[in-house]
Amino acid sequence: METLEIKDLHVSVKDEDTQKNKEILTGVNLIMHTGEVHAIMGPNGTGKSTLSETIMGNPHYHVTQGDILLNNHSLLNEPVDARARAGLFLAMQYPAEIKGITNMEFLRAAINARRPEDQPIPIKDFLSQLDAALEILNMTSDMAERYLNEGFSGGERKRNEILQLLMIKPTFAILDELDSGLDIDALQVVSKGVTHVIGPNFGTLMITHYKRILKYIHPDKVHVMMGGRIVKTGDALLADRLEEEGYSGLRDELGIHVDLVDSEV
Amino acid sequence: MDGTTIESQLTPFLFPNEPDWFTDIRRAALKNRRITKDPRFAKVNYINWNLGELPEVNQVAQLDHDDQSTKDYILCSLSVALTKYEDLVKKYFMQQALTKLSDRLISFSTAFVNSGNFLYIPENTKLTTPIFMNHIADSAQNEEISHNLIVIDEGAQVTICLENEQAQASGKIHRISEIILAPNSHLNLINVDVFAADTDVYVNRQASVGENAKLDWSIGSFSDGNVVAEMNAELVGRHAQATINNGAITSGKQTQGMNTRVTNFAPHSIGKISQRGVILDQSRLVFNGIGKIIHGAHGTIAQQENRVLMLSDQASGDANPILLIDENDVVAGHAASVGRLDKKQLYYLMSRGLPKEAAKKLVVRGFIGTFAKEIADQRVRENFQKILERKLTDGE
Repeated sequence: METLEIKDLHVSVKDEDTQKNKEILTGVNLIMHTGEVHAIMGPNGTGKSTLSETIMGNPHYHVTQGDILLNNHSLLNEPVDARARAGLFLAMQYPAEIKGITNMEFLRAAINARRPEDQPIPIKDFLSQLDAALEILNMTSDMAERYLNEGFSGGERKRNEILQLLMIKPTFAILDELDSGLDIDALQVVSKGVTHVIGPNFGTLMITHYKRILKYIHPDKVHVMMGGRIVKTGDALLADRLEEEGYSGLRDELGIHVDLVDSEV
Repeated sequence: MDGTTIESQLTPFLFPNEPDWFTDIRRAALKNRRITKDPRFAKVNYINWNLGELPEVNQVAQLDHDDQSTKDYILCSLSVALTKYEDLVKKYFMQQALTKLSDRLISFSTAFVNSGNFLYIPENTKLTTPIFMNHIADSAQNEEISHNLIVIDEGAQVTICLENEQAQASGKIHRISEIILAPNSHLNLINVDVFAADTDVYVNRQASVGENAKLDWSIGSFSDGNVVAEMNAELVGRHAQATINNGAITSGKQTQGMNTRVTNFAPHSIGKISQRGVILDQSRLVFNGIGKIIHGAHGTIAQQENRVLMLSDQASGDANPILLIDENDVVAGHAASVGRLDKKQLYYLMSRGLPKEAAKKLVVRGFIGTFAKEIADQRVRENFQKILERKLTDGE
């Protein structure tokens, strides 16, 4: 069993206009193991994406306190590529478009980055894995020949992120708002892809606003984030409660003083 | 200069049994050389390269008499063509594509031409396999001053790949190419330039595109030496089309300067220029993209895009789009950029486990490799990619 631990994580971001550091995460604690499905829910602007980008190692975010540990080994000084090779994966909300690199080339390069330099994945093995993954996601093979995310629709992008997840087979995957911008059919397909990799050797952390994706990917634990930290942890029922009461109900119950920026309550 | 001096300067360069009309062109060019200016490559200083200076003639040209013609086409050296296919050469040589001794380097190269190829594709010949036309060295011992003549006659269709083998010796190279597309012909032309380090190179490629003819031109400027290159397509017939894709990589301390030009002379002609460059080390790369529409060429399209990726703080580069339009009823546009690697792209690739260097390489290859992917013929495409890859790797 492997463990990803977030310990008292404080993160700040430099505002590009004012050049001032703004603290976004104010002490996040979270432990997850392989074999588990976690969901983080929370209102807009509460730091969910900051948490996922910081775990992955986006240089834009600065850790001012706390630690991120993979199997008790701190990742703080590891660059993003080393974290990825250590087993982390982030399905991004806004993946970059790169013209001139085909999906296929990219996937091979990503897989080979995890192998000894003189032992690249045999083409045959690669293609059979790719075909299998494409089929799970109802994707056609011409997707593999297209340039990386270039001109992809919102739904195609999400599928493509999950295609990479299936091919790269990480230990821990963070899925940042995988459900946003997806219609029901696409959501089902993408969820099917995630469900496919869920197992004893894989842990996943889903970041979401809504309960609906949790209908397809059942969480073992649900965490609620507000004001830059996790304020409550529970099981799948917590998500049901949030759906009924909204985040403001929980906020008032816990006596937390945060503004819910997009809330009407 | 009196007649005797002219003759004595030219004599070592003459081809065996060279026709008089050809020698007359040399004489005119030699006279003209004194009065014409150097060609202008904006923002490129090449004065110290000493182009257009008379080379030392080590020996009388060692001529290659090989005639590589097949039943479908004529391919041989210019010197052979001048005796064997004189009428054809006379019909096209400096008659359609390059017609003026407009600058000093054209004049110089014309006066002292010592090598070159002649390729003629007869009417309605449609070839499915590409012609690989390597430089046929007429004078291995001497500095190359070549003139290549490529004629695609009416209705012919062909893919031609021109790749110069990297010369062993350092020195100067002057190379002129005329490319003539007769009406309704279609040419896929792929130039891969790999001039060696320590060479200073002047290239002038002039294409003339006739009615309904189509030129798809891919250029890989992957030399290690200093290069100034003029790439010019003139759309002289109605509905003529030319697309020029130029991919360039500079490294070390080299300079490459390119004038890439399409001129719409005829109505309803379509010209597109797309240039992408990668600049490494302490090198310099300049793209001058020139789109020109002549008065009366209505209903034409002139588009261009020049993009440069700078990978070193010590490198320098320019992407200058120039549109000269003398007609109202046209569609013209341009885009240009000089930029560095996109951090967002690098982060994304690295987030999938690619080490920074590998990610960089992939982004760069993607940036410039798009042209390679547009080459239809697999062998030509792979060759183009291989050379691109080599240049990128060497430059790191």
